[in-house]
Amino acid sequence: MKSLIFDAGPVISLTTNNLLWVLDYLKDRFNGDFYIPHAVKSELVDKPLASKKFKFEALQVSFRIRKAVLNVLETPQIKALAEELLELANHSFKVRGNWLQIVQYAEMEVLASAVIMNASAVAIDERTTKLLVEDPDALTRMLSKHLRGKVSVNRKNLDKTRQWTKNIRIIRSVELVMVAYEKGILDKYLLDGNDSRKTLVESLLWGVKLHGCAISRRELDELVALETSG
Amino acid sequence: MDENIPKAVKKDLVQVLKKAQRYINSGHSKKLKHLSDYTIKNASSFQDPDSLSMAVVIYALSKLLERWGFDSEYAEDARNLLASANFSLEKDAVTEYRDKVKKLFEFTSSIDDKFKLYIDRVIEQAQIKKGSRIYEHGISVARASEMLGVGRWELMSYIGKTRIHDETEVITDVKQRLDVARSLFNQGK
Repeated sequence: MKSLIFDAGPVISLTTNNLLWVLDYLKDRFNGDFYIPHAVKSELVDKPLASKKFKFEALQVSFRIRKAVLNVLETPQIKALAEELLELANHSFKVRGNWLQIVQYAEMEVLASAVIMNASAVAIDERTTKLLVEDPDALTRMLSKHLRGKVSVNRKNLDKTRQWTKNIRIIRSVELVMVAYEKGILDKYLLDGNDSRKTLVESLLWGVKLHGCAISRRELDELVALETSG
Repeated sequence: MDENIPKAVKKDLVQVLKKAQRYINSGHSKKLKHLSDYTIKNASSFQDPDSLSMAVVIYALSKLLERWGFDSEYAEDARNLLASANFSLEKDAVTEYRDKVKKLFEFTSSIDDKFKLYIDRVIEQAQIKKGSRIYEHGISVARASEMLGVGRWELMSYIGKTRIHDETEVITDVKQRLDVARSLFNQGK
């Protein structure tokens, strides 16, 4: 059975754009299951429900969990690997004599779930976890650029992280909405007129970008061109 | 809470407290905000509560003094509290220093009841803003939200409205990533 693991980011981007329902349709076309690790569920549902902000958004996510569009994952193996990955990632970079705590447990639970479930991919909108998996050198450069003091790298720990995560494929909410668009799921929003497809694609991409998906304007323009040329 | 403040952090905090008093004297709201950003660099590196709270309180003071005026009695009170915190830190009285920083927070919210909502909003905005800075430095969203005690929903939505993802662009193959997504959904109903 195929599986796609979600970090909180893409669920937040979709919900805040009133697009969470798109997951119902995408799941039908996925031929597998969508999962959120337990710590991610806590970020998405439990914490906002305990406060005043984003409460209704939390209820929408909770509804998708009850409908089994999103399944909550929690196993001892995932927990153990998440803790190991957290330890490795947070002991990979040192600045001014201090280990940089670059990631949090929920994000490592996403990666651990992907490894244990042998997932088809993970959906992550934020940049740091994505770079840790795909391009740790770019992450080193980013840290060096922004932090005062030399960033030293624990290559051994980075390599171990890489060893665990090398088969993980990452997509973002922008790719999810583009696939939904290509499948015609969003055609009901098309306006009359020549530029209607471009308008729809731009509106979708800007929507998720403005709610936190790590996509630059250049990438966004490239995606618009890809989707609307010919 | 740990009684010690790392030497490098203490040195920076003393500088920040001194500069903050100077900028309040000269009415430099922008410089106060920059000072808060400077402090947040330490917060990203050391992830210590002292740098984090200093960054938030300096930003909040800059916003509040813009509203109340840098020649108001509040400005003088703020300056005195900063001087007092500086004094405690320089003599290594860490608990006393932290009590005084707490007083600075209380000061921002005790001035006038009718501004209470505005001040709460300013503090909250300061936390979200500082969280986005930490993310900009390369720390993950979840970690930044944990450090500042703000929700991930709030932080993600704020980050999306900044230019962080444009200014520190990570080059990726757009088509390749889209193809991965396409390949996942090419079956089913």
